[in-house]
Amino acid sequence: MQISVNNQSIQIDEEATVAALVKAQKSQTRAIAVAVNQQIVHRENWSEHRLHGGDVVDIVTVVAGG
Amino acid sequence: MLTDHEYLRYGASLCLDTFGEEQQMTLKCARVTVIGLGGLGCAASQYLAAAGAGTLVLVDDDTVQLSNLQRQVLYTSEQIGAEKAHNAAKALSQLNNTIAIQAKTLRVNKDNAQELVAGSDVVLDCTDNLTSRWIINKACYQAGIPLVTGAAEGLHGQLMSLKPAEQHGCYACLYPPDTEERPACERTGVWGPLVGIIGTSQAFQAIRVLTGQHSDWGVLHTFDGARMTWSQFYLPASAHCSHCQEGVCKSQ
Repeated sequence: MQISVNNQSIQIDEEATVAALVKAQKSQTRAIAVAVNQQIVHRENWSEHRLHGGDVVDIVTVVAGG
Repeated sequence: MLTDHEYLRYGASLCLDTFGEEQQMTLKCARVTVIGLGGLGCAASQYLAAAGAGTLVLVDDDTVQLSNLQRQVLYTSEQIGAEKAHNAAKALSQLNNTIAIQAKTLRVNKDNAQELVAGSDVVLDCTDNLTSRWIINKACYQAGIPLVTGAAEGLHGQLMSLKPAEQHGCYACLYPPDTEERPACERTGVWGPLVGIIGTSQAFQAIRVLTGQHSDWGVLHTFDGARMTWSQFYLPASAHCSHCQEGVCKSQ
């Protein structure tokens, strides 16, 4: 199925989870937040949250500088 | 009551459709605590002072470094080595001599955070590290005080307003305490004007909070300077959050 990740269209397995996507994207798991369709999915729910075709995913890297 | 001087000083605010004497009086009576007087704090505090926030509390334990001057616009070349909080207070009192400004040269920590935020109508988190951000988040949630948190690195900014009385998530719901600490601005780099964009946005949000015009609680605003775009993400509360789900004030 096709989803959008940070404004780029990608192919991913049917019923892939947020955790699988994060792993596939090689994102630094402990330095990011993930939003699906403009809503943050908490880290503890990544392995249960299944993605659907057309989902818009944003992987947001932590920014803490000031 | 506003004085004649204040009517003139704040005239451009007072003629707005959504802002009048009542809102200006609310600002005048407000106590705003700005924690961190680096790039974000310099930008935010200038607009809060200029807008007439009645009491500004400035908290930072740091001194001015040459490499700060690229973005920390309250300080001068002559102030290198001097305390930031004190010098920021001096510059802001020149900008607006009708407000009260308190400078506190100390670093926020677990032991002093609650005392620092106590009595504030809104707190601005302008710090530069995750540890301070979690401490401030927890203290604001324990005291039921609205928090406007901002951050900037490279070309990226993040901004979020949190109200403990509301049901949305808190800073620790977004970035749980096992999130990896990242290096400070001077190692990762930051575009000077970016801290201005995020810091002045924090001041803007704080004024909306104080005057009851804030509506986007619990929304993470991210700014991508490479594309000049803002995005918004709603942050629900995490059922497992140790900051906002355990014994905190939800009654305000």
